Amino acid sequence: MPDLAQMFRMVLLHQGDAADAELIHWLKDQMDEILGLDPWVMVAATSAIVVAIPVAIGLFYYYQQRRGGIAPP
Amino acid sequence: MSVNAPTRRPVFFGWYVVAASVFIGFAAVGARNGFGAFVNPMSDEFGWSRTTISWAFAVGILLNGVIQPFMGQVFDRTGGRKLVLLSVFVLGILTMAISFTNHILFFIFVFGVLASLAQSGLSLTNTSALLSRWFQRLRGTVIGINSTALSLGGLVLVPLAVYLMAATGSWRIAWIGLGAVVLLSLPVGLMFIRENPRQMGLNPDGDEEPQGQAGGRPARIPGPLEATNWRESLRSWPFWQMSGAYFVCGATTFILSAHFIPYAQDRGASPGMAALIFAVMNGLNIVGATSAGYLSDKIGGTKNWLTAVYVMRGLAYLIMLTTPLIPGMSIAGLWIFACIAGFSWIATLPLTSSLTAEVYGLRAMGTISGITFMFHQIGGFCSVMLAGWLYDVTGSYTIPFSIIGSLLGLAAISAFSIREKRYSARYQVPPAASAAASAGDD
Repeated sequence: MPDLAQMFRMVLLHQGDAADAELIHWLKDQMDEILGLDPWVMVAATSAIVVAIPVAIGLFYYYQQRRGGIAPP
Repeated sequence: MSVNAPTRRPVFFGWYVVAASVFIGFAAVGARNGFGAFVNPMSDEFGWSRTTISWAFAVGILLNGVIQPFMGQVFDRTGGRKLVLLSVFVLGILTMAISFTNHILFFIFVFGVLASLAQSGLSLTNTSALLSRWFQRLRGTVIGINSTALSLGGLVLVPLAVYLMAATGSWRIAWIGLGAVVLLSLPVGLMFIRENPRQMGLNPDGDEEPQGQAGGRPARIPGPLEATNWRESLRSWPFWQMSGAYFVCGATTFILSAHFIPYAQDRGASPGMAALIFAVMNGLNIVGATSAGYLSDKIGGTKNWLTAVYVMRGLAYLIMLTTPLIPGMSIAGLWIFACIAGFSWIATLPLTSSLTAEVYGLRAMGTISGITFMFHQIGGFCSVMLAGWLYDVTGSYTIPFSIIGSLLGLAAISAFSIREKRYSARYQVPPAASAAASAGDD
């Protein structure tokens, strides 16, 4: 029978399939092979995407507000 | 200059609430799911075994499932905004604090216990309940969009953690980075997470006129089971029908999370191929969840869509289990399975949540959804245990997958037997219209 802790770890992976270590390492290998970029470049690119999301939401809201469309929260 | 030039309607504030909720979920899920990326480096540094480090995740999983009904109750009582924002702040700080780990007990306590409690406060069941107040006609659609945070967080933030470790050579910095992303969602939450549209003088769905007034939609008639307290729901059939089906949902998805990759390898797929099939299945979640919610909003019959999702998943299981009998179809069968099952993977979430809101109303929705979610988790736990045990006994996944897959028939019957038109607020007819219809019948 599989180890109890191992099974526990798996139980909620439905909520976190990307947590699978094998899948993560395979994906990294594939990305390295396709893109071949320095890790820092990947960090900068991913961080830029992450930061851009809330900034875009805020800017869009600000733009709408300036057009007089929305009351301030 | 034309004074009467038509002006475009501004974007309904509810959509900003949706955007903020998705980003919060994206950051939180990503930060938690990054666990897998830290298993090797942390084990190597401290000499922990995989089993030892897995306990932190295991404790978190169990606690997250058990605590959800209680967090739902806190959500219902406080309105939600404070709970969500406090949870974001605490989760961000705790994620950063993991970088101070120097003992397994510290890691289990911070990641497994404290951070799991914080994550329960901003769970999808809670944010779905929040969004249900902002949207009625588009409820399924927005909950579906909100559910995509599950996949998006893992897709973007897990690679970020991996590359942060590769660039800095330090897993501690990677934890700080993930914590910073969680905290980044705090300003968005502060700006846009509002408990209900009335707070801002708005109406659900952005309607210009309140319900029941001239020019507005007809007043919403509550269903006969509308609950002011979560205990009331326990005495009605739809709660048990949805929870029973959700139990099977958890059972049939968790078993795949735990055993699909080794099962695919048993059928001749390389580890990379197995991982790719699994990744494609996860990617299709996004399409499945959003389209299921959208279709139920546009066409109606939420329980029929829920039934269809369970039937679809049952069909996928059938294909997965029967294709090895056809020569040359072993791998192709896995791909077909992944494509069909991927659409149904989290499509149950927006459908079950919107049906819960329509049948039981919004006052106790956080708690009721938290309890049904607990059934989902129990189903998943039981199925993984059963599959592990049966694999050891039979040496194959065929029997456990067949048993668990066959439960989907029961789930489909359970969902289909919900008397939605009788209980859902969506189908309640105002007394005047009802009388007119009766007169017409005479």
